[in-house]
Amino acid sequence: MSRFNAVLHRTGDRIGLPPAVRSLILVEIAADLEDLFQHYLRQGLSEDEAAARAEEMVDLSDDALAELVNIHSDARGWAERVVQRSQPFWERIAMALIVLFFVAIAAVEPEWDLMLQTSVFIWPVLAILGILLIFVAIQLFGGWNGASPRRLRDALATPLFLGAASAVTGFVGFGIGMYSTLKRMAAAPQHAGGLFAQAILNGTSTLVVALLVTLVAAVVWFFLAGRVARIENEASKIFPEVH
Amino acid sequence: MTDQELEMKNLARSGHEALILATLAAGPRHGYQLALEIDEHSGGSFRFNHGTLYPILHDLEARGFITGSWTEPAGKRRRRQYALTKKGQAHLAELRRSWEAYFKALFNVIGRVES
Repeated sequence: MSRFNAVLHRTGDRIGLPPAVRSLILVEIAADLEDLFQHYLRQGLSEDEAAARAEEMVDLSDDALAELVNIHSDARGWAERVVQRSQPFWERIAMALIVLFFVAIAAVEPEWDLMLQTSVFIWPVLAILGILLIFVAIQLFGGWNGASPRRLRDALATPLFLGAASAVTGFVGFGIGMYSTLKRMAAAPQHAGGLFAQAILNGTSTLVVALLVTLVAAVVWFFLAGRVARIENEASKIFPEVH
Repeated sequence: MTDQELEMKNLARSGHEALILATLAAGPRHGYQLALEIDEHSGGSFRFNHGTLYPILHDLEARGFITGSWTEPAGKRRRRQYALTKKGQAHLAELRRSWEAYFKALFNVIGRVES
């Protein structure tokens, strides 16, 4: 690596991207430089000639650099937010406590009939939960360990979207259920009390399940973001000198 | 992609993409292998500077046509290896059709003028 330190420094200085993303690009360039160097040595060039030739081949023009920065600029926001603060210990403890709290509540005071009280809006919520579980399975069995940070970073939006979709479905379902019940209450005032109680029960139970799905999505996002942060922080240590 | 789109697009870039995707169709490759193989198979007609290669590779990856993964051979530096995805195979097939149509149209004109 020392042979090409200077050119890597110069290139690193010209790549206007967050350190972690920049480091990954530099790691790739460094490996190609080394391979090209070996290739030219095998062709019979002297060490100096082979090194010069390799550097010449890997030289990034201003246009190429601008394009590279542009391609990775979508990663900037994520990288800057996720990488520069990789979930401190207290955040992980807080997340674990929140999850444990819900598990404890469910264990101490189980509401087994909650699902039986839900409205028709429970179906889209369950569909969202199903998609979320498939997403988790894909992440776990589809190369969690060997996954590129870019792929994982791209995947970060999915649990956020699913969590938001579940919460919105729960709230909209609650609103529509209440509207429908209020109409029926106006038509049959003598049954208003019973109708109202039933509507509140159905709407609330659906909303609770929807928000629990949102919580699961948040936990999935939290672990995924932590994984991205660890990979990118690890990568950024490879070239600490260019930070 | 229609033939008209190929005309409107930057031809060199489209050609570079086709060369890279076609080479990756034979199996996963590292960046430097791609450049050397394209150079060799084209008889030196398509000589890639790696500086040009990286933005194209990263763009193809961002568009889902290829995937990049890190390999770490024993005792060697980590390397980025690229592989063609199913989406990339479909894109390559489209590029092939577009380029065939493009060259057919081109030679319809060139051939007519020559004769």
